Amino acid sequence: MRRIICLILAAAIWFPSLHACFDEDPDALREGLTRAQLCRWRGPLDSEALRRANPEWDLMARTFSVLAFANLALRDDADEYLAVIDTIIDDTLRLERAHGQRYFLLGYVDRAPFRDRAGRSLFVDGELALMVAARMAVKPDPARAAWLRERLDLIAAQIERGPALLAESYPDEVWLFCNTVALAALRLGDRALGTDHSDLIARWLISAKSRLVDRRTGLLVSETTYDGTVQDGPEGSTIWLVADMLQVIDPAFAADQYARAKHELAGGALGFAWASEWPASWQGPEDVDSGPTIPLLNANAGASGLAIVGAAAFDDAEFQAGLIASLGIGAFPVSNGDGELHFAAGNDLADAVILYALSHGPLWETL
Amino acid sequence: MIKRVVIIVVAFLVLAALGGRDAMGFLSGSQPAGEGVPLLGAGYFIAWFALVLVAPVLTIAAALSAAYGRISWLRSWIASRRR
Repeated sequence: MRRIICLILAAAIWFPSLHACFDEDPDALREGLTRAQLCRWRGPLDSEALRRANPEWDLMARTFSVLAFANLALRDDADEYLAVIDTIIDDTLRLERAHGQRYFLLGYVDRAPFRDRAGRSLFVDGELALMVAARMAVKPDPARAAWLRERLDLIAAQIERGPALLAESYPDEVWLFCNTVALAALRLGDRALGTDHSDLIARWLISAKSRLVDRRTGLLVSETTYDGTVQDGPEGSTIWLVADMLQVIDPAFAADQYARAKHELAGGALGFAWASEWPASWQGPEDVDSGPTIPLLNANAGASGLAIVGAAAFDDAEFQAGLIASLGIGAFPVSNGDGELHFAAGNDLADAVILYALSHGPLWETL
Repeated sequence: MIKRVVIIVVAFLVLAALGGRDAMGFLSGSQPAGEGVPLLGAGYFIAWFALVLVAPVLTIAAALSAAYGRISWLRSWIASRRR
C-alpha cells in the first residue's frame, strides 16, 4: 500500500512538471532549423527519402523552405536567404521542365484524365507560383515577372473554368489546401505585378462559404470533386494551413476558421498540446500525409505539425508553446556540433514546415 | 524501484550510443527503402518514454518511500525515548 501511495504521489509531482523539461525557446529552435536548412539547400540535394514516401513532399519541402527563407530575408534583410530562395526555385523549375508536373505527383495521377481541359495540377502550379511570388515580395526580379504572370494566368483560368470555381490537383480531385495556396499566390502576385485578381478571389470566397463549409463544425472541408461534391470533411493536416493562407485572402474568415479548428481539433494536457486529424463529428481515413496518431489522445503528427503554423499565424503563444513542448518530447530534436537542428522523427518537409511556422509574419505583412 | 530505474537508464544510454535517436525516421515513413520499423528505432522509442515518464516517477516514489521510512523510524525513536 505504501508503495502504491508513493507511486501515485510521485506521478502527481512529476507529470505536471514534465513539460518544463521540453519548453524550448522558439528563437533558438528557429536558429537551429535555419542553419540546418541553409546547409541542406547549399549542398548536394538529396530528396530521395522524401520522394520515396511521397513525391508531393519534395515540392512541399521546397515551398515551405522558400516561404521560411522569404520571412527570414524580410526580417533580417539578408541577401544570403535570397540566394538560397533562387537556388530552390531554379532547381524546382528545372525539374518541372525536365520531367513535367508528374514529377511531383503520386502515380495515380495517370489513372484518369483531368476534368479540366488544361490537364494541370493546381497543387504544382499553386506551390510554384507561391514560391516565385514570395521571392518577388522579398526583392522584385524582372526576369521572373513574366514567368509569374503566365503561371498566375493559368491558375486563374483553371479556377474560372471549374463549375464550382475550384481547380483540380489530381483528376477530379480538388484540395482546399491547394486552392487556398493558389489564391495566396494570386494575392502576392498581384502586389508584385500590379495585376488584380480580387474579383475572382471574392467570388471564390462566396462559393466556398456557401458550399464547402461543414455544417456541423463550420470548418472548410478538405477535399471535393471537380464539381464541388464533398469527399472528405475538415482535416487537421489541411485546415491549419488553409487558415494561414486565408489570412491574406479574407482575414476575418481566416480567424474564424482558426478558432473553429482549435475548438474541434486542438488538445492538450500538462503543458503539452497537440492536434487531431479529424473532428469528433467526422472520422476520416489516415494517409501518409497524416502520419501516425497516438490513440486515446487522438494526437496526430501531421495535424500537430501544421497546427504550429496556425498557432504562429494567429499569434496563439500558449498553443504554440504547448505544441513546441510536444515536439521536444515526441519529435526527437537532434543538434550537431554546428548548431544545425533537425527533428529525427520527422523529415525535411517537417523541418521546413516548423521553420516556416517559427519565422512566420513578415511575408504576409507585405500585403 | 531503483533497480528498475537503473535498468531503464542503462538501456536508454546503450540504445542512444548505438544511434537510436537517428533511427526515429520510421515515425514519418522516412526509413530507407525496403525497411520496416527498425528494431533499434523501436527500442529507442520505448526506452525514451520509459526514461522520461517511468524512471522519474520510480525515482521520486523511491525517495518518498525512503523519507516515509525515516520519519517512521524517527517517530519510533522519539516514542521509545519518552518511555
